[in-house]
Amino acid sequence: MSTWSQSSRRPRADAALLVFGLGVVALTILGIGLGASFMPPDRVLQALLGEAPRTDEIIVWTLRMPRVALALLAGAALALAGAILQRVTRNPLAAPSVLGITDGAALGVVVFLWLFSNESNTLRVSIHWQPVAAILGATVFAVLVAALTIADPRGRGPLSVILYGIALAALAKAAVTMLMILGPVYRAGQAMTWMTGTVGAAHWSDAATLAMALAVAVPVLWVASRALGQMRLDDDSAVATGLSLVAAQAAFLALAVVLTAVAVAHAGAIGFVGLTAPHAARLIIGDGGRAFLCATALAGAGLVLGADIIARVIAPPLELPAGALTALIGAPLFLYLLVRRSAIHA
Amino acid sequence: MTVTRTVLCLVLALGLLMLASLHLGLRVYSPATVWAALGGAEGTDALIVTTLRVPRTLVAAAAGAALALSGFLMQAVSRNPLAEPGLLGVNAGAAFAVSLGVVSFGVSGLGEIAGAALIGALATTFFVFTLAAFAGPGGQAHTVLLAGVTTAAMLAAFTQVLLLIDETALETLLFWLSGGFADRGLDLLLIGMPVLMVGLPVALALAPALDALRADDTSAAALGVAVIRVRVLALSLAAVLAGGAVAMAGPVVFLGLVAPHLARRLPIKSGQTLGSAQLALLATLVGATLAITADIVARLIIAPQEAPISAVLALVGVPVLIGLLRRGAGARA
Amino acid sequence: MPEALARLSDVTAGYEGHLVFDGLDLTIPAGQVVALCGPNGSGKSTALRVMRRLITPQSGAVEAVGKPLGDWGAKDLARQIAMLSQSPDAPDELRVRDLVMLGRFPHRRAFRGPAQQDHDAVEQALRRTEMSDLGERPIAALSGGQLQRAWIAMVLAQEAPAILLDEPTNHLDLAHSLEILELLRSLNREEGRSFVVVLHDLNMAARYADHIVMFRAGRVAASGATGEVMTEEIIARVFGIDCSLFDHPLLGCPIVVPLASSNARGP
Repeated sequence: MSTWSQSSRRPRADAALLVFGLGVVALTILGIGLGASFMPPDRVLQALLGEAPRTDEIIVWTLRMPRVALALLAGAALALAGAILQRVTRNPLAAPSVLGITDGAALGVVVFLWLFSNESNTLRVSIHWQPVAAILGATVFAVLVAALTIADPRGRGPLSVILYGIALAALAKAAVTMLMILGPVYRAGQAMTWMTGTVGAAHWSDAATLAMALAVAVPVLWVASRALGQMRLDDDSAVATGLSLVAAQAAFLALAVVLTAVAVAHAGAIGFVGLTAPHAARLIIGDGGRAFLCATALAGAGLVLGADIIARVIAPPLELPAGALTALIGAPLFLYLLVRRSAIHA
Repeated sequence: MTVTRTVLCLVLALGLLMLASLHLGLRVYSPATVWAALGGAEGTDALIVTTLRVPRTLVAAAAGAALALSGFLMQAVSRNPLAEPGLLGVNAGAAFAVSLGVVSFGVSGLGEIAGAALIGALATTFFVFTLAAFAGPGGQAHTVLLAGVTTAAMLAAFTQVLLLIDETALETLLFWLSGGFADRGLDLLLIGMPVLMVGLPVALALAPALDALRADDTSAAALGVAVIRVRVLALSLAAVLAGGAVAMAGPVVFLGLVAPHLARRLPIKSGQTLGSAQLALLATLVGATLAITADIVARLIIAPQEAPISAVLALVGVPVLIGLLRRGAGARA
Repeated sequence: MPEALARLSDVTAGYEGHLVFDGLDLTIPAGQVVALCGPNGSGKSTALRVMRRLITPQSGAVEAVGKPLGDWGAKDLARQIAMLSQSPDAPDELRVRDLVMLGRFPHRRAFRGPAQQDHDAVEQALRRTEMSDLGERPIAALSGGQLQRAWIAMVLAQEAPAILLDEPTNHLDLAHSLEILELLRSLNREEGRSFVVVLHDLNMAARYADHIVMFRAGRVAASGATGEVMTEEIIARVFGIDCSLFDHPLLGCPIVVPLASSNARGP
C-alpha cells in the first residue's frame, strides 16, 4: 500500500512527458523539412535513417540539422538553467535573463569580439575561446548578484535577489550597447545577434560544444536531483533535513551559469526560455524530481525550435531571429498556464 | 533635513540641471550665448539652443517626472517594490500600440500617437493586473510580476516582428523606439504637460488612501478606503502617465523603478516617516532630475557620438540603485 | 543514548549586528520533553538554532548526542536531530505526501527511488499526525492546523531520536495545540524520542514538559524538572509578572494565573 501514491500519479507524468517528447520530435521533423525547398516528413525520416538519396542526406545532415540541433540544445540548456535557478533562489521569477546571467554572458562575448577582432573583422584567436568568454562574463555577473544578495543588510528577501539581478542585467545590457557604439561598426552586427539570439548561422561545432556541456550537466543533475528537490524547503528546514545548503547552492549556481553561458555563446541571448519552460513543466506535470527536469528540458527545446520555425516561415524570404519569437510563443502559453493554475487549485 | 527643505533642494537642483542642459553638449555655450538665444537672437548657436536643447530639456523633465510618478503609484497600489511601468509591460504596451498604429492604420499626427500610446498603456495595465488577479490567490507580488514581465516580453516581440516585416516602419520608428530625449519637438509637451497637470494633483488627492493601503486590503477597507476603486483609479493614472511618457520619449527603461526607491531613501531627518503625498512629490522631482542628468551625460560621455539614454540610465542608475539598496537603514522596501 | 542531548558551554552567538547571548551554558537532557520558555527575544529560538547547527556560534563549544557538533556530517546529524523551524515554507503546489517524503532526505540512498522503508516511514508519520487522508492535497489547500501537522509529519518521517520544535503551537487554536503536544508526549513515552520545544504558554509547558529551561535576556534563568522551575518567584523574575500557582486537582500539574505586570506597579 505504501507505493500507491507514487503509482497513482506516475501515469499522468509519463503521459505528459510522452506528449512533450512527441511534440519535440514532430517539431524536429518539421524544422528539418523547412528550407529552400520543403522536404515532406517521410523523406526527412528516410534521410535521418540513412535510407534516402545522397542529396537528401546532405541537405538534412549538413545544411539543416545543425540549426535544428542547436535550437534544441540551446533551449534545453536555458530551460534547465532556469529550473535550477528557480530552485536555488526559491523564487519563481528567477531565470538566467532575470538574474543578469544571460546578459553577463552576452557581455563576455561582445568584449571578447571587441578585444580580439582585427580591422578586417576576423578573430585573432580561435573562435573556440568564445564560450570561455561567455562563461567568464556569466560567472562575474552571477557571483556579483549572489554576493550582493548575501551581503544585503536587510536580509535575503525573496525579492532582493531579483532586484539585484534586474539591476545588473540592465548594467550588462548597457555595457553591451555602449561597446556596440564605441566599437567599429562592423562588429555591431555581430553584437546585435547576440543580444537577440538566433540559431540561423549554426554549424555542427556549435551544437557539439553545447552537447558537450549538456553531457556534463545532465548526469550531474540526474544524480543531484534530490538535493535540488530538497531546496523547495526554506533554508532552515533544508539544513535540518541534512542538506549541505551552501555547498549545494554554490554547485547548482555554477551549473546554471555554465549551461546559460554555453547556450548564449552559440545561440545568443535568447530570452524567456529559462523563465517559462520550468513553469510550463511544473504546471503540467508537477514539481517532482527527474520527470520535472525532463519536461523542463523538452519544453525549452521545443520552445526555441518552434520559435525558429516560425521565424523562418512568418515573412519569407525574411528570416527573423529566433530570440525575437521565443516570447511570442512562450508568453501566451505561459499566461494561459498561469491563469489555469487558479482553476486547478480552486 | 526636513521634507520641505529636501523638496526645495530638489527643485533647486532640477532648475540648475535644466540650465546646465542648455549650455552643455557637443558645443558648450557661455551663459551669454544661451541667454541671447532665449531672448530671440539669430544664428546657428541660437538655433541649436532653442530648437534642440530647450525641447530635449523640457521633454526629459516631463517624461522623467511622469515615469517616476507612474512607478510610484504602481508600487504603492500593488505593495510591490518592483512594480513599475517597464517591468509590468506598460511601456511595451504603449510602444506596441504606437507601432501597430503606424504600421497598420497610418497613424501619424501627434494627437493620434499620444492616443495610441494611452490606449496601449491602459489596455496593458488592466490586462496584466486582471490576469494576475485571476492567477494568484490574493494577487501575490510575484504573480503580478510574472504576468507583467511575460506580457512585456510578448509585446516587445510583437513590436520587433512588426518592424522586421515592415521596413519603412522600422525607419520611422526605430529612433523613437530606442527611447531618448534628443530631437524631440517642443509640441510633445502638449502631451506631457496635461498628463502631468492632471496626474500629480490626482496622485496627491489619492495619497491618504494610498497611505491606508500600505497595511493590507482589509485594514484599508476598515479605515473606510474603497480599496477596489482606489486601486483602479491609481492604476489608470499610472497607465496614463506611462503612456504619456512613452508618447514623448519612447520606452525609457529604469526611471520608473529607480526614482521612487531613490525618493524613499533621500536624506530626511530620522524619525520622520514620509506620507504618500510627500513621496509622490519627491519621486516626481527625482524622476525629472534623473532624466535630465542622464540626458546630459548621454551627450558628453562618448562625444562626439551620443550615447543611448537607456544605456546611460543603466550605467549611472544601477550603481546608485545598488548602493541605496544596500544602505538599507530605515528603508521601506 | 547519552544522558545529555545537547550541551552548550560558554557559547556566544547572535546575528549580524547584535549578540543574542554571550557566554551561555546550557545542558538539555535526553529522552525527555524539554520546554524552552521566556520572554520574546530572550534567546530560546537562537539556542535551538545553535543546537541544530543552523547558526554557528562566534565562540564556545557545542556538543550534540555525545560528539562535538562540528564533527557531525550534515546527513549524520540530520539522522540524529530533526527540527521544525518557526516559519517553515515550501511551494504551494507541493502535495502533503511529497512534503513528508522530503523528511526522508538523510536516509535515502543515491541513485535510487524511495525504498520501502522510506514509504513506510512516510505512511507512519502521516498516520501519527492523522494526515493519511490528506496525503494528495497541495499544502496550499490545508487549514492552519492541518498544515502544522503536515510539517510535523515531515519532521517525524526523518526518524531522528531527537526533535527540536520552534513554537509548534503558534497560530493554532487551543484544541490543535493540545493535539500536537499530546502527540509529542505520546511519541516520547512510546518511542523514547527526545523533544525540545519552544513554548510561549506556561500552562502548556507545565502540563506537557518534563524539564523546563527559562531564558531571560540571553541567560538561563532557571533549568530543571518542571516542578522545580515552575515557582511564583522564578516566573516573576523571568517574565516580570506577579502570578499565583495552583496545582491542578486532576492532572497534578501547576497552573499559572497571572495577576499583574510587576513593572506596571512602578518601582
